[in-house]
Amino acid sequence: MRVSFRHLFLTILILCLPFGVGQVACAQTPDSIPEATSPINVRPFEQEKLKQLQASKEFEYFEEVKPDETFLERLWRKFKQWLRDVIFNGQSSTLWEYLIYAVLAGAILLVIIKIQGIDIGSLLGKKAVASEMPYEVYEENIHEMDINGLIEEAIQQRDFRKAIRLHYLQSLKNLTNHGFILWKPGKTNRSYINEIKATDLRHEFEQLTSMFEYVWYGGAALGDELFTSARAEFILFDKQLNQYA
Amino acid sequence: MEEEVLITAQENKTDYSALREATNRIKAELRQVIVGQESLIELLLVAMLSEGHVLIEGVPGIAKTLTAKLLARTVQVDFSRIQFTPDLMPSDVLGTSVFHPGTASFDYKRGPIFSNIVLIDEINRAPAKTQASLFEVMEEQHVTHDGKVYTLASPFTVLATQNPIEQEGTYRLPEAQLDRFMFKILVEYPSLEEEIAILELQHKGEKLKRDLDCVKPVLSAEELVSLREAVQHVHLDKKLLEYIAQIVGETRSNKSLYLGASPRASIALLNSAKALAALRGRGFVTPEDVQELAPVVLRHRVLLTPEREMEGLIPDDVIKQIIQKIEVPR
Repeated sequence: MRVSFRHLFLTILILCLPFGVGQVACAQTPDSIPEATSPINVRPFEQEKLKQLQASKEFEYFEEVKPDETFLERLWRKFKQWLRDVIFNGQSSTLWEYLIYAVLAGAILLVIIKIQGIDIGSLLGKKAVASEMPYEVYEENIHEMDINGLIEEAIQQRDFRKAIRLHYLQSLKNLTNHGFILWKPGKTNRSYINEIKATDLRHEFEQLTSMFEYVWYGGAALGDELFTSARAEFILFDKQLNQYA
Repeated sequence: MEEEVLITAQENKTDYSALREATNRIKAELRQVIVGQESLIELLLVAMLSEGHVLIEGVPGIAKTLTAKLLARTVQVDFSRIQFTPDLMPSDVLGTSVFHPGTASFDYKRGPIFSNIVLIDEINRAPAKTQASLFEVMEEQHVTHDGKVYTLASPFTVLATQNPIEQEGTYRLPEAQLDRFMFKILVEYPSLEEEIAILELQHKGEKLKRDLDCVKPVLSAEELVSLREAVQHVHLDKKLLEYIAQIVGETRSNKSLYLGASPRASIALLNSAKALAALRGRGFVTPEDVQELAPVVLRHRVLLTPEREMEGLIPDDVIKQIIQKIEVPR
């Protein structure tokens, strides 16, 4: 029953269609747009302007995706943000202004002090204490010294103690060169004596050591005669050493 | 030739043969009872000659107290012994005021510290307050009591012993007191030969001569004072002064050390090096003397950093490194 009603309704609508179309056609009036009196001027796009606009960043619709921040970049950004907040914050800007002035004044003062060579310690009331005894550092390298030249120099100056010392250093150098001892700054004379394996050589060097110690550490004064005989002992020892080698 | 140089060097210098003879007499007396311990005996003599106090550290049973007691006996001076205990009071050491009914006044009763040679046994068993009572007397050789100053007679030497192992009922000595000891001598066990010699004596029925009567005084107080004066005349070259200053100065800047040695240590090293030179018959000090004494003078005055301590280092290791680093003056 419902199907037949639907068919009926559709038929009625189809029958009414010619009446509707006629009415619509009757409603149309003749064209209201007036005919052009002058020739139509077609304006083309300016190519230059078009290119300019295309190149403009404002018309760039492509959105660039930035890679994620690394930890350091994030830290640096946060630091910059914090610095900006601190410096440009209305409440603390005065304080920063004064601080910058103080740093500038300090830098100028430091430059003046440096140029004038003024001792800051003395300005503050503290007097630099000059050491009465210079802190002598024994950095002689017996292998780089011209010992023979220095011995001759000491003899010319009649500094016999120094000459004996240099002769002893010469003997130590020779012992090192021939591999009898191993030179080290912290070793004592006794250590070197104990290092020499050849008995008679050790005995000779022990005697020379005693002589050197009496003269150098004992503050003994040497005359011409004593120095000549002491020097002969050292020269003899060096000759003996060469024979061993 | 060498003898001639030697004679020139010794011209106008003090003769140290008397000193050597006196110390040899002391050594001979001690050897009647003590087997071995040569190094301990020599260092005790050096300290005695250079007016220094000595801290002897070692495990029980290695003749620390006996050696100190016998050494005191070889010198004809007053001797007293104080056994330090946890309940010992400063007044037990220095003395106290006692009311005298007859005069209705307080009299100062001097303590056992008033002696020429004082043996303090097991010094680390007394608490800090008792230790502190020794500060003034050890450094200034006088005692202040009730506003009065009581000066001690010369010579005055403190010989103290302590055991490094026991922790129960012991107190670490304050740095200020440790610094007042010239030497800290570490006593080792006897060697195999020495131990056999001790056992042989025991086995033969000659029992160890614990009786102090067998050791006779061989040096008077006056002689000791004159020997000390002779030690003062030992020549010490300026180069060696600088060497001592360099060694002690290095302890203050060394990165392995938390606390360096004081100038008192430099003075102790200087005086003891002079005494050692004199003891060996020399009128001048050599770098060997300084190197030999540096560990005993410095080991109790320096403190290792915690890192080095955890690595198992001991002060002697660092002192050895310092000595090797600094060039011997020649």
